[in-house]
Amino acid sequence: MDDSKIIQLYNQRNEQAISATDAKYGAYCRAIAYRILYSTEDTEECVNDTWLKTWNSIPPQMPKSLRTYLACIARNLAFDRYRMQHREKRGSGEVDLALEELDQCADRLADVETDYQLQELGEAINRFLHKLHQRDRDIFVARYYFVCPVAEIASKLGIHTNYVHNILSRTRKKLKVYLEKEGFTV
Amino acid sequence: MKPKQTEILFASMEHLDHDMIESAAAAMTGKKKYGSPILKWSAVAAAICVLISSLVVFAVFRNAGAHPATDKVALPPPSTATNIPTSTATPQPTPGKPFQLPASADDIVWSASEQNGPDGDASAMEWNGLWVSYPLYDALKEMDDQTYMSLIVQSNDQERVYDIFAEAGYCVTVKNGSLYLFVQKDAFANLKIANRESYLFHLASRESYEGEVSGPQDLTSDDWSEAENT
Repeated sequence: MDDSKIIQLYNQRNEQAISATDAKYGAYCRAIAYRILYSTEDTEECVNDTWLKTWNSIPPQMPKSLRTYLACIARNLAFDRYRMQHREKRGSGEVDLALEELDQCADRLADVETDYQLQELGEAINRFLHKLHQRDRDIFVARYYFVCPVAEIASKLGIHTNYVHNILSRTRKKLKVYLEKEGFTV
Repeated sequence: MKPKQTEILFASMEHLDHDMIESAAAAMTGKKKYGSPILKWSAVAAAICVLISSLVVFAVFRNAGAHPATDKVALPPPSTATNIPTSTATPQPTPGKPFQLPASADDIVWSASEQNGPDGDASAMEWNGLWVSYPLYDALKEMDDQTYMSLIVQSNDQERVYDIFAEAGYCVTVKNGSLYLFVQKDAFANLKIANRESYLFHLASRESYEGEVSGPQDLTSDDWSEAENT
């Protein structure tokens, strides 16, 4: 079903909207959540929460891209759930590897107390990413937003794993310098 | 409990622009290819260029009655090292490829000199279609095929030289303004790089590689152990 028709169903408060969303984007959202949670049960709950949150937010929200909108919700819910489950220590999933890699950018990051500060930080990262080469940006977002394994990124983009590692390493170091310049570090 | 700084950074990415997310998502569906077609056609073009240039060089030297492998040939002076883009990449071995790092830096052949560079001598020797410095040329004669070397790469196109080698899967890193290539002799002999004859290689100095690092973009002293652990 076309995205605009699915959104129309949400606007009409027609419950078919959820089954249509699940049919079209269920696998996509499950893949995003599973990369973070590494658990089928948790992933299923997270995807159900995604449909609920989408149902509650459209309307008034009118996403330009339903696919990206659902990806944002699924990722955020999955990461919230991950944080609840990993208060004490990190495990060995892909998200742990991604977080470990990001440690070098974040070691001197100032505390962020409010949602507003979090948004400011997100916008700074946006500005930084916009300065990057398209390929490097896609790789960074695939790795740290979608938590895709490096081998998968290399395979999908048709480049060497080694090269993906190098690009990520360079980008992280540039990001660290950028965040320092922008005053996000202590 | 407060979230860790890394988790804050990760969480802040929920505010990324949707066009960036869509672009990456499209890339991950295999709709974008950044490497293979270009590399494929580059390889074909490179093969043709190498073939033509080899024939030309061979014809020129045969007419001149000289042998390229034994005569000293002047290269144009290489660009200054300051033109090299400052990369922060860590040397990474490529799984399944022959260009892996040895277990220790002690297993690598380094220059006996403490300084990088061909001591101001811009001339070089031809070795397997590559231009190499005299000390490297001499060292290559003594090495077996599996010996690892740390080489400094110089080129007149220093802006792209890192990407050219990295895209081909070679283990390279930039440190202290020099491009270091870690490679075994047999892989070096069969270097799969376009325009092979446009580079000048010489042995890198371990003292320079492990020495004082200037600037925030350079590598740290932990890089070697980091590369070993990868």
